[in-house]
Amino acid sequence: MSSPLVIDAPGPASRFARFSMAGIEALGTVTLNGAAGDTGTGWEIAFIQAQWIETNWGYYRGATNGDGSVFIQRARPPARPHQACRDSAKASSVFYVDNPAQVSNPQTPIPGGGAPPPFDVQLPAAAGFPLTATVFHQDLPGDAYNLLRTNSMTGKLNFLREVQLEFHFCTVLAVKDPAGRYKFLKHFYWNMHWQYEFTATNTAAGVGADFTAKEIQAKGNVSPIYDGEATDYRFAGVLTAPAAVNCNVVAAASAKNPNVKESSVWHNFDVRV
Amino acid sequence: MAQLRRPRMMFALVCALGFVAGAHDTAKLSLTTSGAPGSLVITNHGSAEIQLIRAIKIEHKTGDRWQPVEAEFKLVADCAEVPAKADKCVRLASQASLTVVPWTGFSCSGQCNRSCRANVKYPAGRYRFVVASCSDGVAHTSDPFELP
Repeated sequence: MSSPLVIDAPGPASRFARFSMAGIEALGTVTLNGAAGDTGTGWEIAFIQAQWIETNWGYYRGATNGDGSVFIQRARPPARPHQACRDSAKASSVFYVDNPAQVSNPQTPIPGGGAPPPFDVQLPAAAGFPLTATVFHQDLPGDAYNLLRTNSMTGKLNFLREVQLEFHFCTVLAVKDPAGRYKFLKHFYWNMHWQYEFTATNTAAGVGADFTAKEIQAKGNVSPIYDGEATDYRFAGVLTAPAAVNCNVVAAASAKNPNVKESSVWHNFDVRV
Repeated sequence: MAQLRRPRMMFALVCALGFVAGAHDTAKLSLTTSGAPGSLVITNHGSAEIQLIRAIKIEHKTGDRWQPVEAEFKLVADCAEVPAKADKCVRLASQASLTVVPWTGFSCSGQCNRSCRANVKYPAGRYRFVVASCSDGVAHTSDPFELP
């Protein structure tokens, strides 16, 4: 993850511009104060994450004006029916990772040292109260665009010219009680933006063309940490709803079936729709 | 009562024969992980074609137990050929090998999937792959390998 952009070298039939960054990591510590006779059965501590904004488009154009241009839109209907989705490693999960056995792999040192905390803590029945548990969160989102695309209007190869990606998330530290109710303790916002302009330098080579890239932006941002529940109507409904769509599923589907607009010339497409 | 028992016994015998035949089909399968970390080559050393479940399971050694790992990893030789959802089984001819696109060590971007939002990097350690037969579900585990 040393570079936010990797451009595949000529060779394989499918060549991509791949966008990734170091991502985000977080720790959450919770103390549960039980009364006499309480057990740990059914209590679970982990992070929940929602994505609430996605910008995701790519623009291709041919070597000459007459070779045409193509606009790929992945972030608008019907490719992406809704902006908000729940972001968990397993599509059916509410918690980001709902497996206490899954070992975490912090990329940054854990404050105070010691073993990396788990993503998910399920309290043992014999838990003694008060009980303090720490959970870990990590996300390294990314995406990719083909470097080449054939324009069906002109039959000519079009070359990746520009890509813009914006993923905005809200991450929530939560506790689930034995009745299945979630209590939101803390939350923070974060996002990752990529925007690059590409130039195919030897288009006569066709699929073997070389590409250079100019970074317009490649950065991440993190908000302060806020107390309590995240109530923003744009994503609050997907945090724990059983039927909420999963972000990985939505992202893969929109990459496979994006909205495609083509032109027989170098057209200036409206990237907002 | 005796007349009722006989058909049941015949049914049990047929099931047992079917299971043995399936197990025999995949018994000569080798899973090689001796290449780069995450690499997998599957070879059918048997005399008949076998069908394998497309989804490959990954397990991580934690303590003395092998724990399942949630990751995108499929039996494909080329990401450009990632099949439709309905294509759950892969045919492997007698004496044929399949070099699988390697596992990257990530959950979502584990192999061919490049559009990921929730994406976790698994820790360094000992892992193994588990491939199962479509016909009888018999599982075959690879040799362990070290993920750096």
